[in-house]
Amino acid sequence: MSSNALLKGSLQTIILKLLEENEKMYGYEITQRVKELTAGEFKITEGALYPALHKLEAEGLLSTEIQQVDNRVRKYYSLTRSGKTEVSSKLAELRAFVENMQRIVNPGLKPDFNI
Amino acid sequence: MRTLTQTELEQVKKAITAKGLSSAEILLEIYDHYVSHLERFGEGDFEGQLKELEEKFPYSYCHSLQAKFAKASKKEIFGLQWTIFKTYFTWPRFFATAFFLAFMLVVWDTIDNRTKGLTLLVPVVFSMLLTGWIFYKSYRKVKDIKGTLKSQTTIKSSYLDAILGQFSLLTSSLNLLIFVPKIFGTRNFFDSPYFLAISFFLLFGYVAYTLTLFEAWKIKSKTALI
Repeated sequence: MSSNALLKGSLQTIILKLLEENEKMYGYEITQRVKELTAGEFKITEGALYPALHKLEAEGLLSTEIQQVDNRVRKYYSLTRSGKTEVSSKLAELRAFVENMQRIVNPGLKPDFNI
Repeated sequence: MRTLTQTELEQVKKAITAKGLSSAEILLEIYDHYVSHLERFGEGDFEGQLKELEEKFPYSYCHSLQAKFAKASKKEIFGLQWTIFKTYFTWPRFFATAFFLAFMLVVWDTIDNRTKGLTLLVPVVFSMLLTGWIFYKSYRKVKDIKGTLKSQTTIKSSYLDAILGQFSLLTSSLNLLIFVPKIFGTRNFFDSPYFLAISFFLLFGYVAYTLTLFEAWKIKSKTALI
């Protein structure tokens, strides 16, 4: 299984976390930021990114803003109030998952993660 | 990072319009993705990178994305309407509405059935005018995208379809009220005692539906292409 398959399940959390750190971002910027942060190890595919963004928008976790940039229009995403609340619960969920995985994969090690 | 030449931009537009997409939201996002990506490469890499993008955004993926977005837009508008409806009813407003409805029921009992039928048309006509206004506002917002891409396919906001769909629900239910009794052979339905109850609840439903649709549009129009 490639790391991209593992990544798929955490995509929403990644998007929410990135938007928590950056006030607003557009689709392409998100793919590049993930690539940059993981030195190219994680590649968010366009096939997964846009449906995830649209789903989060429909659920009211993201709001959008259309802006004119260099003779074209760009759609920016940002967190809504409920999106900001959701980030913490999604991160806690991910943290618990990683810790449990660590217990299974490496029972002798004490997990120490700072997500 | 560089600015694409006019010829390169035309090539990008041609590639995107060939997909036959109609959703303005999806088109603007894909176009921005293509241009943002291609701007990071030199002129010599343009053809290869465009080919790579075309492999990432095939026809089937784009249409599935458009269909999912249309579905999500409908869900979002309906969800907004429901939230507006729920949050409206704080206890003081709930009592005020209950009082108003009781008052209306008394008035409703005193007016003749033909007037009741005509009263039902008021929120329907209002929502028809509102839809026309939303259509015009959306047309103005999407005009630039249409001008940029010059597509053969009619480009419109996916949210507009979601709102027009809501409006058709109102008119369809009114048609049902008029035609269903005819199907069952009830000739003078307006004189039927059931008309009092049905028309009263329909009026409340129509007014609530139209007002929440208007509020939902007001919220979405700040950020979306409607």
